[in-house]
Amino acid sequence: MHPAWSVVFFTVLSGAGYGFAALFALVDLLGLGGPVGPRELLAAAAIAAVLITVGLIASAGHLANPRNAWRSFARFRTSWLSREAVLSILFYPAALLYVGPYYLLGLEHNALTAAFAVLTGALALATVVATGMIYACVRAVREWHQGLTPVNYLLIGLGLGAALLTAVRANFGADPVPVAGIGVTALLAAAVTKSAWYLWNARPGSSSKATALGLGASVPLRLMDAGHTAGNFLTWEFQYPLPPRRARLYRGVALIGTFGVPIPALAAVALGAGALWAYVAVGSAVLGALVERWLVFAEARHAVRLYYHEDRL
Amino acid sequence: MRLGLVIDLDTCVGCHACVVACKQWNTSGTVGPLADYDPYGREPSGVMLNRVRHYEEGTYPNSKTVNVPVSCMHCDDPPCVDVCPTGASYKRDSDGIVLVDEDKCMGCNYCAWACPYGCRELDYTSGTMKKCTLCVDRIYDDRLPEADRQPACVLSCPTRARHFGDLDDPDSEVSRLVRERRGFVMLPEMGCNPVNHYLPPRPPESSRPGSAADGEATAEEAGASARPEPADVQRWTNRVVHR
Repeated sequence: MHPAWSVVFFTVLSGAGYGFAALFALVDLLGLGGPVGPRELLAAAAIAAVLITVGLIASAGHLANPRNAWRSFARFRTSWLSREAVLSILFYPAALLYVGPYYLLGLEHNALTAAFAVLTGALALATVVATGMIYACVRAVREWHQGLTPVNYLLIGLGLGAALLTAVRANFGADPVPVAGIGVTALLAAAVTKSAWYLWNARPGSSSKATALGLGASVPLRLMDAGHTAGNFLTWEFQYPLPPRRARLYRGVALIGTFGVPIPALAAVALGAGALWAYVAVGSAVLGALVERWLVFAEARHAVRLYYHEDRL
Repeated sequence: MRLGLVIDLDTCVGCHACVVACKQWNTSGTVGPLADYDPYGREPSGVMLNRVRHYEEGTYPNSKTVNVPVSCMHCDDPPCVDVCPTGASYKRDSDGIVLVDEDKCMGCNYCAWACPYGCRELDYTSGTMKKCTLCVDRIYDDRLPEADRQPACVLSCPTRARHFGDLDDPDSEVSRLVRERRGFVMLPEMGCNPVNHYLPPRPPESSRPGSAADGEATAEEAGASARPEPADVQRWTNRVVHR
């Protein structure tokens, strides 16, 4: 699949923003690492709002006809893209009703603000799952069509959010240890599910040129002529040329950036090292996740390729 | 009613007449214009609703060419319609044709991703998704003679490899062809339940068991579809030429 940078930035930034918002609501409700101060609350709200909003605006960048983007809320009964749009927008009033009264009431929780905090966290998590399901429900792309796709989106979003929240907590003088622990857990889990995702994808699939063309399964089939001399939408959108050596290199960069550096860095914070390591974790995890998300597209092989040079998916 | 195409891979010669006819009709029809990119330049390209690709089956010298036209299958379970967030993609209850309402399309490409056959193409000029309409602006047009109320690709096919009809009706010609020629669908494992069917290439004459009996069957088939026998045509041509 052609990796559109708008979608890469959207899924990474919004995922991190929603993960951050969900974890912040949790930390605030349970008072993990000490109570939240007013300046910390405002900073956290601003970080979440910027990440989520920039991500959502970026997502409009891959629309060929953005004038009709408002219509994307219409088909939430069948389309995960529509569900994602609806949930991402519902998040805003819920978060506002949580942060606003909570701030005005002097950071004292009552039943209502607590309920809205829970709702904010739940909507944030649901949005990230819906983002993952956009890809997981596409049967034509074998690499995406599996249960671990939304799990990866959710765990990586939580991991990025936890790294950010660790930095925020440390910056405002709270104890970053519990959040760093959550971050290590989320990223370790994500490293496991992402590896399992790759292992699953390495297995041969059931679709081949023979099932695509309905011709003999026992004889070789070869594309002689694609019928067009230049490229077209199908070759531009579904056939990203990524040589295996470059793919391996990028995969290594993605795994080290998303997991290899942030996990020890956050573990160091959890064990009492300085806040500097939290910033290292944030920087590395965001860059790593951008490469990871780019690869999710670039390495995905769409079934259309069977009609071109791919023999088996 | 489930309107669709039945395409005979045995008789398709890969001439691309259906591709050209499709582009011509639809670029001036209700979904038009279909964009061209760099049409007179080095890399001419553009939106096509129907594409023919050419494959080699087997290994030389025991190989043959199979020409495979692919256009929208008008699936019974179209994933492209399910994933569309705006409701621009829809499948008609009355005849099963899958269409795009371009006034609602936001050009997100999601339906093209969902379609395993590559039968939806984004028009970069209009920013909307284009796909085969089964010539819906033609097959119901009362002003056309009844014989012309068929998709442009079907009418243009010089070898009559393309058949159009109602696959719900067991007595229609398309249903009969699918039944008698063991018609199949592409990528059945994707679960889309395509309406369009393909008829497999017949094995070469030499490899058929008892080729004489099969020859009779072929002649019967030709008679059943009321086509003139080649010998009749030859006789008639000779008469005309000698006159």
